[in-house]
Amino acid sequence: MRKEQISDKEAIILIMMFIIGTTLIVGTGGNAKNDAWISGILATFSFIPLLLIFSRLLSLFPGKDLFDIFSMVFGKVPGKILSAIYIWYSFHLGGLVLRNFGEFVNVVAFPETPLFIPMLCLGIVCIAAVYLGIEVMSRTTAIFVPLIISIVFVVLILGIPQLRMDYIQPILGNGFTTILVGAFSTFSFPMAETVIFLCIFTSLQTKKSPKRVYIWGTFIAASMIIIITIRNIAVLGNLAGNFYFPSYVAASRIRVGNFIQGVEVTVSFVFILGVFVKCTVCLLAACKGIAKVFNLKDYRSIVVQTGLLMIYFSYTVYYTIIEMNYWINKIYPYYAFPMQVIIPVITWIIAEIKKSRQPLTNK
Amino acid sequence: MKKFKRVVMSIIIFINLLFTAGCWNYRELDDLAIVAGAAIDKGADGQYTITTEIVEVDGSNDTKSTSKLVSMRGKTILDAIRNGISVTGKKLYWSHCKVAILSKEVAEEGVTTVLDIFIRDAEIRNVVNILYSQQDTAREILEGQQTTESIKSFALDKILKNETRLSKAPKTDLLDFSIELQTKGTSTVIPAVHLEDVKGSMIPRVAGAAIMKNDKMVGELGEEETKDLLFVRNEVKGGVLVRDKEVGLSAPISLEIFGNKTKVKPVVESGKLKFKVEIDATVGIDEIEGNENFIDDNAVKRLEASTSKETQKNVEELIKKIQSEYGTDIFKFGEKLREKDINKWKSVSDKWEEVFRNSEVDVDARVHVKNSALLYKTLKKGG
Repeated sequence: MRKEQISDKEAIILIMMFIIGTTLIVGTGGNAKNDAWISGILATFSFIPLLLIFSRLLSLFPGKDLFDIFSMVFGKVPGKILSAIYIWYSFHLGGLVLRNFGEFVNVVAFPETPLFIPMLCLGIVCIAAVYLGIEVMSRTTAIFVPLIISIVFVVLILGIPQLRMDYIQPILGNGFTTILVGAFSTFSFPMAETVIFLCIFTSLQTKKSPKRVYIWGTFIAASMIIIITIRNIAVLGNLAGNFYFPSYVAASRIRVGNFIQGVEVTVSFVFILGVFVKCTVCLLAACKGIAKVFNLKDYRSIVVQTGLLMIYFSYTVYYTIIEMNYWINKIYPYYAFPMQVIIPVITWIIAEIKKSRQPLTNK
Repeated sequence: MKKFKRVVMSIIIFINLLFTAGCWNYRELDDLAIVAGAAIDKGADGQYTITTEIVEVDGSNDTKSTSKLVSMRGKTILDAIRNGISVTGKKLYWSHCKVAILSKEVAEEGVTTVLDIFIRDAEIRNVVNILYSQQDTAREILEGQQTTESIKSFALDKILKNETRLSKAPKTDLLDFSIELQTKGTSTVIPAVHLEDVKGSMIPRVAGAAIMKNDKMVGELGEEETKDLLFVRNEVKGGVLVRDKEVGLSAPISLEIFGNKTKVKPVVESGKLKFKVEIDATVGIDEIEGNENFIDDNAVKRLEASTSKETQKNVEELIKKIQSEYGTDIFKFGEKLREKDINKWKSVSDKWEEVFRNSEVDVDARVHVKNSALLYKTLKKGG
């Protein structure tokens, strides 16, 4: 079989869409109130070391994914256990994202349609995309990204009359701890979620590309998120934390003349594509992991099953959107911390030690 | 075989067309009752009465839209709204709702209890304007006659949108209102509307404002007072200043406001909190009813000085009045203090009302005359 390969550009786009995907709508750093944007900057900077570790792991073992790395570093059985944790994490995250999308559509557009229908529709598209492989996924995303970026910026520019910069002040008014808490939540959602890319980036071009891809993808996405956060605060003031979907509400304020109204629909388009990318990446990671753990030849034989399970899972995982929001804000950062930081860092340290010893043992 | 496959495929495609052709719960336009505005009253039995103005689109040759009023009652707002189905037979469609008029009773009882649904529900946009009815009920406003637009709620929306050129009423939409409500220390104002008798027909007129304390109405402001308030809140963008004998003129002159910039600076002087309000307005002479000329330089200076003084006096009086009578910070002083000096704000925020009542306010108004429009010399009456 031909080896799949994606260019650096496509990989950057994939990471960028993965990060901004749901965050553009759901918002981030709500705890920090009008300093949420500082939290965003802080989170980005604190993510840089982790990002370097991620890309170092990928360059240490070119062509290998996280599951291979685990079994190479920790041995066969512990490697499989760790792989199972990551399979669960990506499966769960994919479910969360899908549920988020379902709730958004349900609250905003189709209150009478059962929650399951939009989730099923998007889920099937994701299954198809994963079945076709990472090349198709990244190229589909690449087609839409210019549109996404232009939508984001046009909405941003149209929203300028609604901005009230007074709302940003006082900077650092709520104390530094709230900013740190906000930064932590921004760090875990969405920045450090990119750990999932460790599971699927086996098809990058060169040894150097992981670093390049991670840095550029994160940089572009983080700057967009920070700008959007500032916009949301400047439009919604102290209400920004009260809404489930602040960007949507902020966009619905736009009223240029009598004819440009209701541009919030375009924002949902961004959301749909973001969810598509995020969900596909998670599903792909989960499938690859399962295939590795059970020594399957190709992950494609289990895509449909895993995908459908993910859809059902997302449907049953929460009772209501209220519960979902509580979980995302209060529990998720701590729940995800081991997968996002602790395990990759330990893996990296052991991998470095083993790599430095390996030449000696080889001789 | 190939042909058979083709036939089967095309049959499947055509069957698919049936299922994908539209939403299963589509709503036809004539099944909807489009709400343009709502008036909320509370009856003696504690039930809400909501009167909605419903747009009726006449689909004949010349599309003309008229409106009619529908009233419904219920324990809560949503209860009342859904009870509307039993009156109209249609589900009300709220996306185009532009105004929500509150009666005095509702406003005094607390606005948030009523408006929560307006900001929570996804169908209602948060650009809905909030109005306070000075009549006995809110319904009367929608019953009034209208001159320019056939749909009264849309007319009210237009009035409020262009209110910036008049500055006699604040413009408070749902989101602004909620933001100010949630800001600690700040109280908000909502525009007031009343019916004016013009040759026997009652026409709604937006003028003045209702003062809120937290979310309860505590008092009303007149038109001119509202303008002074807007000066302090830096929300004046246009309007007319009429100056008469108080500035030493024989007959009134009108100054059109072209722009205004107000800065509020909190200062702490020897432990005491003080607010400096600097009003900087640019006006043009647009109407002189008397014989005055303002040709020589000093005349303009004198006019500027006297107008400034007058504005300053009015604003000071208003601030004094609000401080002593209501003690609600509708000038956003607390907000300014929080923006500029967060530590001081934290130390006073818990007893802000008391601090606000006792804080000294220093008003400094400067009015600049920009031009006198087309006329250099005033017309001489009788040569």
